[in-house]
Amino acid sequence: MTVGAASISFQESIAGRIRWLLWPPVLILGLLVFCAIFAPLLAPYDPVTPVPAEKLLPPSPEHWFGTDPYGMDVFSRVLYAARVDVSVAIASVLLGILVGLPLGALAGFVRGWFDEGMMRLVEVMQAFPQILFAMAVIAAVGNNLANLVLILAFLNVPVYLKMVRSVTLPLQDSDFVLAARCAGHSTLSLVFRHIIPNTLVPAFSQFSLSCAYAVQMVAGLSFIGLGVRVPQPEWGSMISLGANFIIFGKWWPAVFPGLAVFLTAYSLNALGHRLRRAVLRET
Amino acid sequence: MNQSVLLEVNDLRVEVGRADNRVRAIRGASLTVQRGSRLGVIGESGSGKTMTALAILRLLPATGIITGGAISYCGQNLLPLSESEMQGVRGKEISMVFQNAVSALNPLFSVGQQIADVYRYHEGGSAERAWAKAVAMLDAMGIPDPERRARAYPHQYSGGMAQRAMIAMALVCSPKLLIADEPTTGLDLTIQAQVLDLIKEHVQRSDASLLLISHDIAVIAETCTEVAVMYAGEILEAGHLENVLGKPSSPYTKALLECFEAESGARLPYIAGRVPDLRHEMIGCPFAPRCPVAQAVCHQEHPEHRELEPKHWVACHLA
Amino acid sequence: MVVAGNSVENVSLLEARDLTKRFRVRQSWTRRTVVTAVDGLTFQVQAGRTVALVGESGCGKTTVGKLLLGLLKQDEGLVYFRGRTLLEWMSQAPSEYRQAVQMVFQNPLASFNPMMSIGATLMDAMRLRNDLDHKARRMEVTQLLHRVGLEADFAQRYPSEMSGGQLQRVGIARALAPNPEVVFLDEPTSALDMSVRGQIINLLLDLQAEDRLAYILVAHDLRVVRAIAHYMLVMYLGQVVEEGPADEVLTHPLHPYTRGLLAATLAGLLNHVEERQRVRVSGEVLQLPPGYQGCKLYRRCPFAHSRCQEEPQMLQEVASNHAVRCWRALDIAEA
Repeated sequence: MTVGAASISFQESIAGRIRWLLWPPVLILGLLVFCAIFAPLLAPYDPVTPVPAEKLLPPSPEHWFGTDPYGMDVFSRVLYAARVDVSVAIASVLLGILVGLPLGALAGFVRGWFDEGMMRLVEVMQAFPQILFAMAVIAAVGNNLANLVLILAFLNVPVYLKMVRSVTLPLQDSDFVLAARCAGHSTLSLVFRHIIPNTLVPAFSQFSLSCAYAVQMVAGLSFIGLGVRVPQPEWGSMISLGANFIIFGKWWPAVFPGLAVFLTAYSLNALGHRLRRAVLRET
Repeated sequence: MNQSVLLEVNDLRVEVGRADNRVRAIRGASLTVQRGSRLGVIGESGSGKTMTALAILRLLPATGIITGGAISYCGQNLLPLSESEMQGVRGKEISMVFQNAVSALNPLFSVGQQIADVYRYHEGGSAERAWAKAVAMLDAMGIPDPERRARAYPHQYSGGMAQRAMIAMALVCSPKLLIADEPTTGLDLTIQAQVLDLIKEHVQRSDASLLLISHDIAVIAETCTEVAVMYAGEILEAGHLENVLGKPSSPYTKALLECFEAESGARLPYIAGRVPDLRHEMIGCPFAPRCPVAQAVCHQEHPEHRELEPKHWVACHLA
Repeated sequence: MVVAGNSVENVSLLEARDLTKRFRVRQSWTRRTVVTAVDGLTFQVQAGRTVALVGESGCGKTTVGKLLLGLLKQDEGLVYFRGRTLLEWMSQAPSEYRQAVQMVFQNPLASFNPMMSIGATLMDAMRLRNDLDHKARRMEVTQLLHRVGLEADFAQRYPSEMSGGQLQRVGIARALAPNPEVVFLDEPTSALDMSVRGQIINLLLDLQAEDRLAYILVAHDLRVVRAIAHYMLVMYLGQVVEEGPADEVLTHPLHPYTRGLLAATLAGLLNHVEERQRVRVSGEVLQLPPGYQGCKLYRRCPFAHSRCQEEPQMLQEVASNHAVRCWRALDIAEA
């Protein structure tokens, strides 16, 4: 039962941090975020103005990733697309957590009819196939970025609600909750002051994985034309546009954005799994 | 009583934990269990007593390794044995009983099934014979209505009854050595006495030996013939029960005994300070920082074993 | 009804009268029985004194704690604090009651929020103290830590970085934070090493003397009871089976259950083996059917008689301030 304070030397902690930063998924994600932020400075060409004269040029020193059927530089578009995918993914997952986490904590702690109600709601929400649901809603309200974020957030709420609820359930009977009640906490203040902080770490260990899924959803929806609108660069729509030309040997308009989606999703997944393992080991 | 040695642990060293956090849980522990005798290991948290039991049966956690020393059973060194050879030892030659019986049993199988499985693994034979043996063992442990109880599941057992079932499982193949790790902790006081009596009776009846691990001296005094006092991964004093508890030589043993035998009065005795950090190498006696009579040499040199009388040695410079 | 009390001149601070709490427990898929966790408990405690509730699993001690702290509502009986009932306190001045009656928990590691530093927990414990502003509370944290023998820099540490003994001292500091008058100690040392228990007990004794705290101690370690209790009640399956001044009950136990407990505790070192054989309480704690009126220890008692099963046993005062729920108590004692 005796535990010692964690104490590693300063050098050891720096070395550990550097090892962590050099890990490929982290590097890729770092690069991604960098490109997303600095796209206007890094992109050599305008991503949205068509240049018919230069359409479908293969990769060259002037156009690193070649040009697409409208003559736009693929490299620039891939960079700008990073902005859309990354921001939509992060925003939607954060929104999902913002709504799902407190509801899950309350449901798991208070139980009773509120909990039952939440669980039924979650079951209904998760009963729909996600892509079909997104398609239906977009068809109804139109596809713009805000709607995309809202829909994806909606899909994330039940995930976090259930997860936080399951983390909260065993805490109900714990002694420190009893101690907090003795200190005069009401149920609501107990949930916010004591329960929710204990759910943050498990919830955010899931964050990266949810972002990976969100990126794929955005790309997928854009691929079928229901995501980001056409001239705006987005990996999924770029793939869709370039897919038709692969049989003609013009592979670059589709493959480069495809690689971008793949690397992003892979890195987010790898990071997410590592975080989850670290979290589960500690708790 | 046969004087030959059943189990001998010599200068055992065990490390546990992940790379950046390795703990030297056992640092040169030596103990001996004679045939037909009952050895109690008394230690508090962080003393390494549970690790010792796990090391004997090679059940250390994934991050644990034996880094030194020898463990020999009936004269044979156990450390070079392969895993499948060890499986032949566990349950048949050396058995173990754990602290929280209800959670130490598999919740998915009936208690009778688990006991029968152990029997069948080592002795072979038909399922019916194994089942009959399991029921007989439960009966021998004083569990009423053993037929019905054998079909029940661990969660349907109370703490004391589950402990009896676990003892039944440990003894079903008549091992020569039973290791019991805090078998009564968490049980009601009145049940503790019953469980200890049960262990003592069955060990004596089958002329087996017992290695009992506990933090409670009363438990050991009640059940054992010899005792070893463990602190910070080492054995500081060992010998016959009457000698060690009656004439303790190590300052740690003396201090610990004082804590147990507190008379009603103004202040209760205690041992100030904390167990040393086992992640670091230690120089000198591990108890020196907290020892009321420590001298300079205690902090500098590791004390050797000193024999005070037959069947009583101590690791202390001042003995 | 025996009035359990200490000296007459001290006014009782906290008092329980005929406290009863029942639970509906699901025994199997279809069967549900009513378990009486606490059955007609009556006791009182004065400032600066300690009353001990002694018993094993199923005796109802944890339920009593929750009842006294207002975390559970009783089915029958009343709790009085400074003369007014708990119900009145909870409706008129709940935060005052909360501050006045505090609890120290059994398992130190489980009783702290792992995400909060010690300092944050202690600050949180003072949330009802309107007499201190934020700055004063920060200073109070240091004061509290010093009082329990810890350095001020422990405030930055987290529960996982501390030993059991240190954490339990913080638990005591936390109970003291709201300036209580009564502290319910739920097995405060049973999760700690033997070599550390004495330190905690000595600390509790010092604090009681300094602040005139009333303690209600729940314990099954009779050594601890002997060290700090002035008065004790032995409980079995929710009922008090024996009560009296702690010294008296511990040296002259009358009820077979008390004798069994004592014998199980002190065996070994003090060589009471023969005594033990005579007062062996056999079997396990058995929940008895709801309609059963007789003695609850009947099946396990070595002195059982058919009369024990048929008649309900009442708490009788047999010596000055010493009461027992067993008609054979005096006969057995003489044997």
